[in-house]
Amino acid sequence: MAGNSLVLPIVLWGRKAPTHCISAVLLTDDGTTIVTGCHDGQICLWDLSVELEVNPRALLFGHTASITCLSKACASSDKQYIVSASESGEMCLWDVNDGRCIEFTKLACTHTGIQFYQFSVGNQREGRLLCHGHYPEILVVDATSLEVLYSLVSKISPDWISSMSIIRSHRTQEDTVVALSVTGILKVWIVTSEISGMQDTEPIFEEESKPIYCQNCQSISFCAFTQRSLLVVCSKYWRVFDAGDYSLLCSGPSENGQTWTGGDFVSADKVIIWTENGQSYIYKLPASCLPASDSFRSDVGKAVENLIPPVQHSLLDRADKELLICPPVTRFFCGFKEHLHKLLIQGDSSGRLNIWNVSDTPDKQEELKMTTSISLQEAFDKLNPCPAGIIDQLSVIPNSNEPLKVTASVYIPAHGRLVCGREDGSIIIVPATQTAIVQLLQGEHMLRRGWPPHRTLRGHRNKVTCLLYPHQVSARYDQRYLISGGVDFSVIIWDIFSGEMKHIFCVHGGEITQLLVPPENCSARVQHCICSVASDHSVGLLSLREKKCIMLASRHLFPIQVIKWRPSDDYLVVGCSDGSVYVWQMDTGKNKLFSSLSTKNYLNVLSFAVTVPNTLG
Amino acid sequence: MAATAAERAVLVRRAGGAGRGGGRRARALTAGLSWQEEEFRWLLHDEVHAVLRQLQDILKEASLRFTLSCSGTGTEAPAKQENFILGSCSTDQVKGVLTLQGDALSQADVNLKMPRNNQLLHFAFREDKQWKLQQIQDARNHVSQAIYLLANRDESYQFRTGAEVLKLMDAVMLQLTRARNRLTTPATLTLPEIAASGLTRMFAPALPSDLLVNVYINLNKLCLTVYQLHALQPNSTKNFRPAGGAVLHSPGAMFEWGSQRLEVSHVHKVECVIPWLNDALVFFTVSLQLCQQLKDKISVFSSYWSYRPF
Repeated sequence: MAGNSLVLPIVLWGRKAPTHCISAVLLTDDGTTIVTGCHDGQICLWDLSVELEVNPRALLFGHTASITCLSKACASSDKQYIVSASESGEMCLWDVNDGRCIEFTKLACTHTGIQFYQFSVGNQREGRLLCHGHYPEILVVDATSLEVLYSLVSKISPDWISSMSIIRSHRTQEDTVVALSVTGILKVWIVTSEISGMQDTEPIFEEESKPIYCQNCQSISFCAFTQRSLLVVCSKYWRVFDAGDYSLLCSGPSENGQTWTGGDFVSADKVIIWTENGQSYIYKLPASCLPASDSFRSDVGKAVENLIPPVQHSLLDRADKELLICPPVTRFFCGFKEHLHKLLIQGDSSGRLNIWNVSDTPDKQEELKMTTSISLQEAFDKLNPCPAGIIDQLSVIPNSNEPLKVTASVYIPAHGRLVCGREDGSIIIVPATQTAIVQLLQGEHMLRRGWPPHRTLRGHRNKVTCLLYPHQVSARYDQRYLISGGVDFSVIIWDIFSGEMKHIFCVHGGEITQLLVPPENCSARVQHCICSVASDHSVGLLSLREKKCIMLASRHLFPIQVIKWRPSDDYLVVGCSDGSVYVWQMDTGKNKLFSSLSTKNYLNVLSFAVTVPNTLG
Repeated sequence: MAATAAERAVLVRRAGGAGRGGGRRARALTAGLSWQEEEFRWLLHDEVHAVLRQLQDILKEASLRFTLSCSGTGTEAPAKQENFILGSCSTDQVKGVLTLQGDALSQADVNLKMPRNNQLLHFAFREDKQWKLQQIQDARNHVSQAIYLLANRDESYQFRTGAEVLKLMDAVMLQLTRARNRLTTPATLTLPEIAASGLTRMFAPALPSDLLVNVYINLNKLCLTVYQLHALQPNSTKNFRPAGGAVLHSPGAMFEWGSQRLEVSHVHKVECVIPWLNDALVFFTVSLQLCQQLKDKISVFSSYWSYRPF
């Protein structure tokens, strides 16, 4: 029935912050919000105060693969829109103020960089996103609809673009897009105004293609201070070029054999370059790089070894707090408004943001201290009262500050019950509404011990990884059965009313990763089974009625991602993470292997009942 | 950075000239390490590097297969040219000799015998025209990315946690899977897209308006497809339904092009195995298995700990 009811989701975070292995970082134009994207696809919004204090505000869910890049998507100051792109080709447009997803699209290609640009179309200025990635051109995307309009293509040695910079000319009407391809060729496109109606026309070809012999380019930046120099950072060196004719002005080496991952101009004569380990160095450029100096371009034409080297000025180091599992992401942000600082922001795999204020760098300085450092977990720890988890009051561990973690759960609306599996192997069944009330509302219940009334099931020896209530998925199953899987390789059938353990299946050689329900029209025997997937890449059909395993498919070399069914042929189809597809006969346990060649086509052509929502890549 | 207690214990043991054997476990326990910790330590410090070395060798071999025609390093040595004769064993209506240079076709010599009148048609690329096979360039670039990820992780690099190795393996496997998918999954194009593609305009003499040509890589084979079309009469009783995208269209597929409605009457597909692509695919498969096996070995220890440093 239509109504005025509004459903507001509320999150009970618990004391442990979610993992946030940062893969992209962005500071909004007004300098008030830091946006970080992580390898799991979530985006975190952090508030940045004028005194450079950072506080996480919101976590945006939506992407299904790791975030590859973030960019602003709007020029106006009242709207703060950003765009995010993921490994799987998804692009989302978000409103930073309230975290809404405004637009979503999925392309066939992965972007590794996006930059916002305003084109004049007729009398108006329209926002465009210039994207580059694992394809041999630069895509021009509409910033509002996320539609691909046209592309900047190259005629000479077209190849993937590794980095790109937009040079805005203050003198002429023509702006330039300068990009470096993966083979070290610099490409230049002239971009000015779009003729309206240009959307479906021919691609734009490059003005110039010049090999500059830079391998493994990590970033390219145009100096907004001199309007003349271009910084190209490669993994083992960095170079400054004259943006007028792309001739080499200066070359800097690597420090202690470390790998550079990016850099930018801090001022007209200083650059900051950062490494894979998270350290950053500020260099002072020689006079031959500065247009204002008399000896500008005095080194042009010389071999790399004969150029005047830059002088190391400062070191910015991270204080090692947590061990990192992948290189941190560092970016330099320079605000041109008065109150905005020049900030070096670094996000790492432990969910930590490090900020250095490089606004005033006096001439004599050896090491610049970090201004702010905060991790998501530290922000959680600072909160008083602590963020509550759903069954914290029942999960108290003696001699420990932290409650027992919930590692799996299933909500059973028919009985109004929430079933939670925990890291010690116990399973707790609680009345859902009363449990939520305990965390969200104050009242008499806070004084009662052992509230809410609950039942504990013990049987697993270690963390519970999956829970399934089959009757909820299909009414053909007995209402009593609750199924659990754990890291102890076992699957247990419980009677949810009496709390009895009915049977333990120990057929797998790995932790249980998924519990699934076969579709309706399977054979009579399979209809009373549930399907279990384990980390030893095996799939089992466990009969709840016969209390035994009727089929174990275990020859897969790669982790199982998706299970599909074809009941009419008695087929169980297993899709693995490498794209291979195995077809098993449920009755006999025989199998056929289809290689990755026909994977996508095979799964599309045979119409299977889908039991798992995710699909092969 | 100062060694952890565990590291110091192992160093002391090693310095004492300890050998393997039955006394090992007793020694390990007295030094404060359980046998699981010792095994994990061996895995992280020795086995991982052995596997990574193997991986690097295999991927270097794979990348050599994709000869670069222009690397921008100053030496613009053109890639070697290879000729492939594409034919079909069942019929000889279409025969093609395609010349592959790196990631582009530099020449395509196509002979077509029209079924109706046995007329022999011959087409070839115009002078200096090349048709880039994007699939090969993409696969090559993905391999380069995988090699770059492994570049700074040789013996001198110390892995501190199992999670770090897993993350590295995930990243490498993603690139290798993408490289392989680019070769095994050619683009699905609609017939208007094939008609509009630049390939149609590359031939001399120009292709007649009732022929469409498409070239792509499928697994380890170079494939040439020729579609013969006929116009659908405006008063035809056939139900017009434009065909969607496909790798290979079947006879009977219809589409609209310009002001005409056309239908595919014959499809000719000829192919030829490219030996070095075959090698590359084998290398991808072997590398992926190596990576997965290493991940499985590390994951065994995840029950005990994921983020403890060693």
